Amino acid sequence: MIDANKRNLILAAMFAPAVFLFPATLHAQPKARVPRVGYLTASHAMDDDQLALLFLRELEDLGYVQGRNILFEKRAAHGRLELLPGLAAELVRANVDVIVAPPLVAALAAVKATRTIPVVFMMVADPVGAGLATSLSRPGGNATGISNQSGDVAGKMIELLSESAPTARRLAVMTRTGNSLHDTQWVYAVTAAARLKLTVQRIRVSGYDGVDGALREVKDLRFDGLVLLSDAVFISRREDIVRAVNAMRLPAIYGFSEFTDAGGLMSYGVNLGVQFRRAAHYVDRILKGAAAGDLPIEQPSAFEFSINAKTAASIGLALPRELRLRADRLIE
Amino acid sequence: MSAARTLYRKYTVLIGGFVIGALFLAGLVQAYFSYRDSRAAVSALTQEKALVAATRIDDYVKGIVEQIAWVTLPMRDLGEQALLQRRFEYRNLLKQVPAVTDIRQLNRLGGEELLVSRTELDVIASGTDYSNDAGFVAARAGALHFSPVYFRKGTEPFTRVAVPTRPGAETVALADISLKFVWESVSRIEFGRTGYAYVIDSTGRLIAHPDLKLVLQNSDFSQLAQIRARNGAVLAQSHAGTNVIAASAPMGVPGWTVVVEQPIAEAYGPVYASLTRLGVIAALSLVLASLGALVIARRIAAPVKALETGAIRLAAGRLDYRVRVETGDELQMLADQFNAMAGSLSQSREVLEQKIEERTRDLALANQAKSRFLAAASHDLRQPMHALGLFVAQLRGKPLLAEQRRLVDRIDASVSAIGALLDSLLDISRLDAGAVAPEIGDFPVNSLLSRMEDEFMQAAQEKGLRFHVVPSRAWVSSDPVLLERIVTNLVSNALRYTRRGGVIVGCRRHGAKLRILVCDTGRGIPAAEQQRIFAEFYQLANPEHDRSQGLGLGLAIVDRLARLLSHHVEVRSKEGTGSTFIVTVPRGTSCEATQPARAVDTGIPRGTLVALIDDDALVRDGMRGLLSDWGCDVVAAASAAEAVHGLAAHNRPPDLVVSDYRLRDGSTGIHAIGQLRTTYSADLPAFLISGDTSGGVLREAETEGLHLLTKPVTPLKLRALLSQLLKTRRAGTQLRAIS
Repeated sequence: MIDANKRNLILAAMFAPAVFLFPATLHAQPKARVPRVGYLTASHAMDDDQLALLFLRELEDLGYVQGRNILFEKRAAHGRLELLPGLAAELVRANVDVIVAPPLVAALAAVKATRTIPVVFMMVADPVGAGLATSLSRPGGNATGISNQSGDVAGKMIELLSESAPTARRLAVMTRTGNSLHDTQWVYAVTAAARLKLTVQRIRVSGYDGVDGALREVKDLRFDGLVLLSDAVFISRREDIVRAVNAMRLPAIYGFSEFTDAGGLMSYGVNLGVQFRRAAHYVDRILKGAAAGDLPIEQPSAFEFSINAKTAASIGLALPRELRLRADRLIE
Repeated sequence: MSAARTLYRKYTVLIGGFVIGALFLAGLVQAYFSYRDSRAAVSALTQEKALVAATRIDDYVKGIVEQIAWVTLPMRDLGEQALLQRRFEYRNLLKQVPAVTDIRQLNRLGGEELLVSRTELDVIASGTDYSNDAGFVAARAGALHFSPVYFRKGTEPFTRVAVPTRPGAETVALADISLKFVWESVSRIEFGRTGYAYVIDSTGRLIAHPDLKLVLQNSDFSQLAQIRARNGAVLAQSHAGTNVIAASAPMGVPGWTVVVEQPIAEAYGPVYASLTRLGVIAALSLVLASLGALVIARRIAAPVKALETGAIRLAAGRLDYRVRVETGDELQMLADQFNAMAGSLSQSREVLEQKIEERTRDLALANQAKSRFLAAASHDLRQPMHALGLFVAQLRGKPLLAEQRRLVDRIDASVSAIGALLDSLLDISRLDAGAVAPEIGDFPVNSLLSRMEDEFMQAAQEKGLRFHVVPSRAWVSSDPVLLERIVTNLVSNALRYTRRGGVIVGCRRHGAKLRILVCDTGRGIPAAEQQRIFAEFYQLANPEHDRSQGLGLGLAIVDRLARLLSHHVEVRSKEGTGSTFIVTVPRGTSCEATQPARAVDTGIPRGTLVALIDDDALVRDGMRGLLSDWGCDVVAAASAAEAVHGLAAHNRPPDLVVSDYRLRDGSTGIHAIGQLRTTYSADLPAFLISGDTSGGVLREAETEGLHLLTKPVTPLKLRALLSQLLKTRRAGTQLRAIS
């Protein structure tokens, strides 16, 4: 009798702590659904894109590993802008959680395809003007992202081109018909040229296939320099453009450092890498439940001036030392 | 039992209460101090963190300002070449300090000498007038000046800093700084897992916050309590409504404040964890204390319980029970004394029992002597009585003169009276000897009642009394013979003691019982005597012991029979008005259908051959005469052998054997019947007659399956048994014939 009681007592003392430990082991982790991100680009495929890689690396830093806890649906128009609506519709049908659409054209296609799936845009100069958002601080719709101020730097591009080739007097400014921003930039360019006592002429490109004709026009009109405003179609055909321009031994300045990477002489514009890295943060916040319409549109203030010294040498252009010193990136 | 439980509970509560109370108090005190200290530590830490954050952001801003100041060294000349040089320096600054988007150099009058921008064309000597700019004014006075934060395109926070050049120069540098770079700095400030820092300007407007969205939305934090509280850490609500602990610290930039916030949940996480630990320990201690209290209380209460059990056993008469308590303290001493007490009690009871045993033995011996005397006396009395009865019966069968018949009647009456007295005596003796086994069965009480009417109606009328029996359809569960005896005695008693009025017998249902009532209008029984009337030889108002009124054994027999049958008998009487005797009998189940009609066929077929064995010639002659009168052929013999010899003359087996129990040469009637049955037939009907009333003979007869008639045998009884046995045999023979 007493022995049995003692045994019970010992048992009770042994198991009492288990009562406190048990609840901790009872919680089970629910299996989370792997989110899917649609990546819609007007130019080249995501995997070939250095900027897209920056975006992915930033996502990784935020804890998203492709294939493990994030999946991608990749669609690229390769400069064929007419394909974008179809590709956007595909992403909507795939019911992705968020669509990342780098240039304005892709963002517009995405927003046209869906008013519910959040869209994160980059490389958009004036989101409010383009109808992507009602205001920068509170976009309101299903799209948000990063705005660039490339529209404001056309004057700066002309200044830099002028400093690289002080003798140049007649400059060509290549724009694309349909890119409304190019109209504004053209005005900046004209104003700046007037102040620097230069003449500028606008060369219009009708589209993807119009690039070759425009380049021929530049060649025929024998300009002293070329300003190529930033545009998705231009990026897609940057290899052809750079090859043709360098063949003309024409000093040129482009909107993105990707052109200098491809052999272009100079580029000045928003640091796109910063934009693509920031885009990862937008995706992160949206996947964590934030509404795109509540996320303010950021305007990165980081600009990048890039010079390809090899190209300068190959076209026989001696760049002033001061200019070289100003470059954020110098490719040699 | 309940006392020990109470003790157990009481001690459990007492000990448990003390220990748990002490633990609880200790836990509370510890928890309170731990909570207080931890809170103080968290507050100090938060305050410290705010200061660190302020210093770090200050350093960052200071770094920018120093870089600006560095390129704002006095210029040696004021020519264009100097401005180009300054432009080069500014361009370098823009390259190195991304936060700066535009920088201007103003001359001592506030005119713009140089503008270097990230977006616009660089401008030299535009002369734009800045002389009224607050920054310019302050810088001219030698002070560093930050403009109020302004937002470009409504979202990008900027400040315009005016930096005076080194002494001797009179120019001022005016730089637009993007405060998003302050954000980067703020974002890097980590405070726990969820803590964060932010910067507000003098108007409470947000300048930098890890959540850039808030900055871009121009959030106004001026209403938050932590912004206004400047001393130490406070508990407040964040802009999102979370409860936070917050501290603020002023910055080097005039009007700017760094605020550090950490959600309470995390800040006090360690406090709560420590409290939880304390709680768990307290709960564990509580469980252990409770168990301990239970164990200790049990150890105290168990010996008491054992003592209590001992006392209960002792009270129940188990004097050999001993309490086992081995606690080695006062309780054990108590138990030892208890055991000693039980021991001496046990001893004295043994002595007492011995004495009782002796007395009982003596009494039993005396009782046996009485029983032997009674048995012997009745046997010896019965023999002549039996013979007398037979002779009288025989006489009655003969033609007699009137005078002779009167004599025979008187003799018969006397014999009956003596027989009745003997019967009563024998009944008492048999009942006392436990030789009567009741045979309980269900039967209609009316059969009993109607016999009462038959038996007593005449006597009542002779005595001039009214006698009424109320018929009843009830059934009772009892021994019909013994119950009839009870009622008979009560009725005859009632008739005996009633001089006027009458006697009424009836029944009344009383639940599952039936009450048989015998009411008379006699003189009644005084209350004081109502119990004594059931004693032997007690007669009311018969001090002269007139034996013609009976021996006074009637109620004694009633009492014994009632006890034997477990029936309740009571008397209700009032002196002068009469008495009512009530016998309470369980009611039986009616089984009218199966009850055979009680038609008594007392006829004995003529020529029935009866073998009569009795060693007493007198009795033999009497019996033979009686049986012959009933038309039987009788072979009377003194032994079985003689009977066989006599039967030989008849050339047929006997129809029935009647034998006295006690025969010559130590032989018994059982042997004799056995012999005849062996000779003729195993199912030869037979019965015994005996004057021996000891239970032994009756039991022996029962074992053999033989009927036993005790002497003196009335002719009625004899004829009834004869007829019954013969009838049974006839039925059996018919059955065999059929099968």
